[in-house]
Amino acid sequence: MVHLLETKKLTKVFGDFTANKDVDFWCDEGKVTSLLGENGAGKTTLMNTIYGLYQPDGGEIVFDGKAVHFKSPRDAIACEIQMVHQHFMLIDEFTVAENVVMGNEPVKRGLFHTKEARRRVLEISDAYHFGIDPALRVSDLSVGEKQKVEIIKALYHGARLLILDEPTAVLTPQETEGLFQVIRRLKSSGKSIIIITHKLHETMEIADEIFVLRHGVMGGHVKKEETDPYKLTCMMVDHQPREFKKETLMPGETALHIEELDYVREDGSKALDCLSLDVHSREIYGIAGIEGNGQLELLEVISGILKGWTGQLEVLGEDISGRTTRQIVESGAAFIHSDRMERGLLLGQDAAMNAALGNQYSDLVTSKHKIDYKKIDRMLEEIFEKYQVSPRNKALPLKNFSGGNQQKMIIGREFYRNPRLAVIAHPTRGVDIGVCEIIHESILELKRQGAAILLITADFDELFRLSDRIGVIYEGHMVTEDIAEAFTPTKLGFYMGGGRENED
Amino acid sequence: MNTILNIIASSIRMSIPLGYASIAGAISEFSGIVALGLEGFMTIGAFSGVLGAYYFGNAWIGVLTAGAVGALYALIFGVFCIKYQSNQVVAGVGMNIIAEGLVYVLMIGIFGSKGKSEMVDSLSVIHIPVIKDIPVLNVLLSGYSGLAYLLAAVAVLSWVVIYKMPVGIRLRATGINDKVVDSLGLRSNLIKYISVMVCGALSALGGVFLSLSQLNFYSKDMVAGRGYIALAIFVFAKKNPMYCVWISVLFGLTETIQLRMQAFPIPTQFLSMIPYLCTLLMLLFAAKNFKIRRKEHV
Amino acid sequence: MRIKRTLGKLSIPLLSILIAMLAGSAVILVCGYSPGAAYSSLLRGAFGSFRSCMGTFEKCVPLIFCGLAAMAAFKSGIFNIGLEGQVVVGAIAYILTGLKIQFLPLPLHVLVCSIFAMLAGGLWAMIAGAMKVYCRANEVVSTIMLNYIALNLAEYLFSGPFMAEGTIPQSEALETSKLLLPVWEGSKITWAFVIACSMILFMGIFYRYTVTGYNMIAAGDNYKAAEAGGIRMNQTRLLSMAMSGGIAGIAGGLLVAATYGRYVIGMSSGYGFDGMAIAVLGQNSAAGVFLSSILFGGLRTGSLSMAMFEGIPSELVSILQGLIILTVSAPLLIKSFRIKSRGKKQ
Repeated sequence: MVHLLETKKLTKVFGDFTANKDVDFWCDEGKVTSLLGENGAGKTTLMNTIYGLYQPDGGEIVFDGKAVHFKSPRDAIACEIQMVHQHFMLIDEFTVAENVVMGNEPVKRGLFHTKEARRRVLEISDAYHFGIDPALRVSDLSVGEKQKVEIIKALYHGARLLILDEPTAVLTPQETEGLFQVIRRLKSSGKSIIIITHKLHETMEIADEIFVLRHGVMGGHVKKEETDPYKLTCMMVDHQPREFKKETLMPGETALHIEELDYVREDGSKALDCLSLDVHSREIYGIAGIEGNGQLELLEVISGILKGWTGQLEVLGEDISGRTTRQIVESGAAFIHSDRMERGLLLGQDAAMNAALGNQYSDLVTSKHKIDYKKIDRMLEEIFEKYQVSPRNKALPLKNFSGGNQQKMIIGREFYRNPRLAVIAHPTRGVDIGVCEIIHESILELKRQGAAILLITADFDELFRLSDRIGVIYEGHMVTEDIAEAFTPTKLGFYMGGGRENED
Repeated sequence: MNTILNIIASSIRMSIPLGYASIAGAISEFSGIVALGLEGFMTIGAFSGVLGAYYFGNAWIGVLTAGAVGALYALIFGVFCIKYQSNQVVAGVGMNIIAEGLVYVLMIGIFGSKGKSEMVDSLSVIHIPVIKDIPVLNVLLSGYSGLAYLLAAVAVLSWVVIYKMPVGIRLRATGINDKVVDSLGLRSNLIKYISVMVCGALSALGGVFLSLSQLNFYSKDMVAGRGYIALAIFVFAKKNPMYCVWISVLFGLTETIQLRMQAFPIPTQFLSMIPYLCTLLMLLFAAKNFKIRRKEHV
Repeated sequence: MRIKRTLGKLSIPLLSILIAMLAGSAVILVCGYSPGAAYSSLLRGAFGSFRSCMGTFEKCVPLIFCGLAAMAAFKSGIFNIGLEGQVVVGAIAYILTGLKIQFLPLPLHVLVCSIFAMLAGGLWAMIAGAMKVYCRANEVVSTIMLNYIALNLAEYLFSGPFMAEGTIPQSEALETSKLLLPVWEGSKITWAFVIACSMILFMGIFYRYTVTGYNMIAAGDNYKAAEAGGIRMNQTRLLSMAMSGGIAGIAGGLLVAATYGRYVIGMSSGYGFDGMAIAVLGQNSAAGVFLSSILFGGLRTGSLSMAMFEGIPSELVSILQGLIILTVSAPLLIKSFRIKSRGKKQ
């Protein structure tokens, strides 16, 4: 049987880093094929090479029995291959209709035919029961709805093969089920689907064929019927995942006290709405929630970046209204923001300059108010060793480090000053499993040393592995809160989507 | 009454270079390229227009030359920004410096003079048939140079293209997120190149208005910072071509006032400051829009 | 290892100059002159003799200050295009104060006038700085507008109320005893050059060892990360702008004190943009600014002799400077050049 799409010994190299090596992969028409692998395994690179965003350095791609060479996505699109990227390719300021039809716009007498565009979008939306209003601005849509718009877009431009890159990364369990229904509908209308994912259970649920990628090399291929989560795990990772013993320690005093916190954004929308929570020392409080429900603002309010909030906010026993970031940090707090490129690093500067960021006022890094490079050196040595940073090049600008190593640098420099309170967002986003373990271990160690930790994450595994208590944030408010053991992923998903207790 | 009409007409006349340059800058900015080279493009346009008129004896050929040369000069800027990923502000300043020096050297070489070029054929004023006999309207609508009427057409046309045509959707999308455009299989780089060249051509037209319409020769420093004022204008106008034209007319008004007040005992230098002070005032109230896109890391 | 790194850092500016010279040759040919004659007369005029070297170093002084001023802004992520205007108001402050306090001994005179020059330049820059911080007004346009306003102001003052006797629009001259004199008899290098060199050292130390300097570098690299790192952006931006303008103001003051002895209209021409080119070419480092200033000083001196001996207009040099700015602004251009030349070697 001729596969719809096949790669034979596909290789892709970036400098001296081999992202994909001799990869044999295929998918059949009308089937759902999953490309499974850990973060950093090379899945997105493989698909990007197939899609024409990268040029292969070896091997070949065969589509519909013929060898093809896609020089750019245009060629792939011409073969009716459409990719839905992990980070949405949407223009927030435009309407749904404008986003979907761009590239194949309906025109009337030379002008953009808005009415026709909307009609066509509605047609597709209705066919798959999406319920999307084409006249809405994308910025007004929820994450799940934006994803539907991406799928409508792919179908509009004529997709025979759809490649979905980590589609469930930003969805609640409930929304994920909704997506799977869509995928089943697409399959029954003859479409072929490739899903890139690192989530085992979802693969088991939706895929027909499963390919496991490991460190850039094809680890194996199975049919769903022939495998189970345990077998897949063994195919995915080198070693047995370390057993994390979560110790529950006696919580100490309140390190972070938030009561009825309100924050209104510039555009008038309320980001934080009467939010209350407490975090004690020797405890990890995990906040679960769909991105955009106030987590960003919460972190930036606590760290002193956003002002103009109302309510009560005490960090390590001190009221921080009117305080600057510097003062809050000096009182013993550390912050790891969710976007490391944006908030965490001076990408054009070397490791020494980055290590000093946040520490430049303390004598960890200065002597007599002058920057002391010897002290910074010692700090770097310790961080490089403890977190296994590679390459150990102190002069290399941070933009040349891999994502995982960048994250290690940030965590290293924040934890170096032994904070009493750490507010950490998405510590292992985009980071492979080995680094993940190092980071989780260091967070647990910080807790053992007596710190209070507020953890914000979308990764359920991480949430359950680390948290003592869990709270769910929805529309700027904590809708529920309990010990970690009281929750299941489904229950969390329910609250994350806005469910309330009495609606059970 | 007559004076008011004349002032309005004069303001419109004075606004033409700014109108062209601000629309040009807006188009470039829509595609994501910072339009800092406007001053240089206008200078190149003003001078090459005179060259065209000089060698071919016809002002309209001068205008065509200006447009073509402006587009080509802007293309160089485009190559640096798009292909070589230059820091756009620095590259823009570089283009302006080169333009100034180039024009100066060519002036000496061709005309043998440092300050003024030779006189050439200039654009004649157009009197619209029926309107020229209607009172009030004839002062306001008739009697302008061809380039002025062309600007009106350019403004309307660009508004339609940018906001009402598929090309405009793709253009605006490119400036917001060019990766999105590429992921659709479109060529965002091509869109950028074209809009930069259009920017160069239009600002050159703004420049050539100064040398071939208002006057009939090129003189050193005749652009006098209009390229930079145009930057402030399209920011304030939120890049909307129609607003650009209206705000340019307001600036034309300040230039008109400046000329008329020369009769008063105010030192000329203070009068010369007026357009620049007005720009500063406008910036104070514009806020929010302009963010120089420094090269993002990675 | 360290030598390799320094060579690596030098290769970018050197390659940019090379590429600019190649492109410049094409332009020179188009304008009808010979590139060989142009470049050789430039070189001779700049460094050909001891005397010309002295002249180059003398011309360096305002360039060093303007380069440092531009560097101070760039390092903090600010585009201060208004250097020329700040030089002008600095010079105005210097001459107007200087004429009033000529009873002071030389060192004190220079000190007091320089302080006024620095304050004037700093405050002039702060107008744009405050507009940026409090009104989010883009500093590129506001600084350029302030340039034109400053130039007009100077023109008014020195062809009007403060004009010296005679027909030339300029100010009164300072007494020769109040000018910065040559370091040794007959040389053209004045004490101003010494002051400039100390400024280079000071700026180098400032950015490497002070916390304020560190904060500015962080702010320039990534202001959001800097904010998260406890740095106050408003304060930092204002301070950088003030510093930048202040240094440019001193440049203006030294133009009066060391080069011209008075305010001559047009004397500040081009120093602003040169400063930017110097900072960019010098990769925003104090040492780089020093070396680039010597190059640009050489171009200025050389251009005069090029005009005199070969009849090539000195403005050609500004084309070259613009080309250098262009090439330095494009890191990828230089990278591809390097790869091409490496490919040829293999």
